[in-house]
Amino acid sequence: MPHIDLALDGLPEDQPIRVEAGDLGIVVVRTALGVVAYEDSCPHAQWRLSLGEVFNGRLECPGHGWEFEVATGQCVTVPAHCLRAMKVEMLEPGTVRVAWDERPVQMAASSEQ
Amino acid sequence: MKVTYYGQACTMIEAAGRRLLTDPWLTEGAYGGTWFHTHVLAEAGVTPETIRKDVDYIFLSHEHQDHLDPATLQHFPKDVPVLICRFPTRKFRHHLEEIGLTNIQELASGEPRNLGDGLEVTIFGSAEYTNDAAILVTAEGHSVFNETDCKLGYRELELLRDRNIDIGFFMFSGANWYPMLYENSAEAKLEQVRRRRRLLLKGFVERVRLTRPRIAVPSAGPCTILDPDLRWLNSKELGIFIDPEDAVAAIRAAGLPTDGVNMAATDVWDSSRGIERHAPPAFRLPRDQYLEEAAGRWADVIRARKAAEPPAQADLPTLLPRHFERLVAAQTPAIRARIGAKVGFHVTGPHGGSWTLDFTRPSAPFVEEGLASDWTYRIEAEDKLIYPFVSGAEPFLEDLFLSMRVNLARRPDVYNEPLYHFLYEPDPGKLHDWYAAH
Repeated sequence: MPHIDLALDGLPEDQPIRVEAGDLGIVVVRTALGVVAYEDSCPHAQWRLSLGEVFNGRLECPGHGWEFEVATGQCVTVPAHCLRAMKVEMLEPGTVRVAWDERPVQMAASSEQ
Repeated sequence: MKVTYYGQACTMIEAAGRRLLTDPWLTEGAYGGTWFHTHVLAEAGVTPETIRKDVDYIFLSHEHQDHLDPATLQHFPKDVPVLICRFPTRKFRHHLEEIGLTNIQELASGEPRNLGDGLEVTIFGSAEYTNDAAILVTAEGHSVFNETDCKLGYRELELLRDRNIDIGFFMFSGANWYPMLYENSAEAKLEQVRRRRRLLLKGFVERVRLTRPRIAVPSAGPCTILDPDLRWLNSKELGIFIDPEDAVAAIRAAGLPTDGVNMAATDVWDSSRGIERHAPPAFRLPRDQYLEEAAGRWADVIRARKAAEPPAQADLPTLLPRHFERLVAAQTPAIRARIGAKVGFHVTGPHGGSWTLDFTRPSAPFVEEGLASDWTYRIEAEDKLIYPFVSGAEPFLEDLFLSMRVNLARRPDVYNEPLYHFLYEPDPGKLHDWYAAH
């Protein structure tokens, strides 16, 4: 599985960081609870989420203001959407590994009622 | 090619022997009298009467009063060719027909249209539910891009980089009521304002970075609010209306290969001579100083306009629930469930009252008298301000919010986009189609 290793002390808390692996952009967010990583593309209009801001456990896209739960990638604004999550594994010492598979982006199940 | 800036999103583009005017809003006091231009246009001698009328085309991006101003358009020939984006519904086109325009040409988003003599225009539709559009004009080997306040998708912006834009006009300031008009703690609102301003500037810089024009002009704002009751909204700490100089500084700080230029109304860009400054010296004053002086100059006019506002009629308590009952009932159960809100209206004034729109009810009636104790969204407004919208005189309810003369609250403090879409354009088919795809 392709992956990238990041130094934990290079990830400031609650500040989204963009890392690139070939054509893939990844937004990495370190929170008090751990590190999460998603494809760096808002499902609405493909803006880079790494340009957004984290507040109250949510990541806000700078393009059109869609908000996502940092912990899960679940879209709060339009719940039918969810970010493509990367696998995150803590390595020793002070290193985090972000890994992903090569499958196409999967959409979360719709919450349409 | 020559481009004259007339504030907000209004540009006169002259090329290939033609003139194309974009979003002409040349009066003051849009949205219930609240919105003035960044600098009052009449102070530069620009009014609907003085602007040249021999234009070949007018581009209208969307229905907002700071972009589409019937009081300005009535000074142009009714049959002037009007270019608009082909939107999912015909509401915008119908509105233009109702104000008397007879030569409306709809262009598909992203498809170039050759207007002859080498003049080509491409209109780009918004990536959002709201109707809005940007325009790219190419002629004589030059290109001008006017984003108006249309929010395009990332890929579209990336593709614009290949269009070799000489000068681009980009939105950078906030232009709505969030978070200022919401009931919240002072501390929470300060933080929300700070975050909003940061994101607005980040978005602005990113759109410039993606499209890579030689010159980027912060435009389509900020509005200037001179009503003494609302002037606090101009504050850097309390409001989201950003100083264009801050936007220019953000471009500079980002180290982009683009010159950020603060063009004031009547300034010109010419492809041969560059930027020409024509705006009055007052338009170069520090923002706070200009606001203070302009407020003094316009206080009497604003006071007189507010005193002349027509009152609400006695049938408001009948019209309001009937109006919203029809709109809510017309939605599919899935859309009502998606909105899932209990919207309370608290209308003040002699013909006021309280009503709740309940989107969670399984069947009609969806509107009941009184403010439900478990409302999730509350709108408070004067009867005279809401009356035109429930009586059918005004078609766009969002204009009430943009007047900034409302008080809002939501529980919890979370943005409900489906509710906003309903309030913006409650077309059942459009809402259904949008949420089928989103």
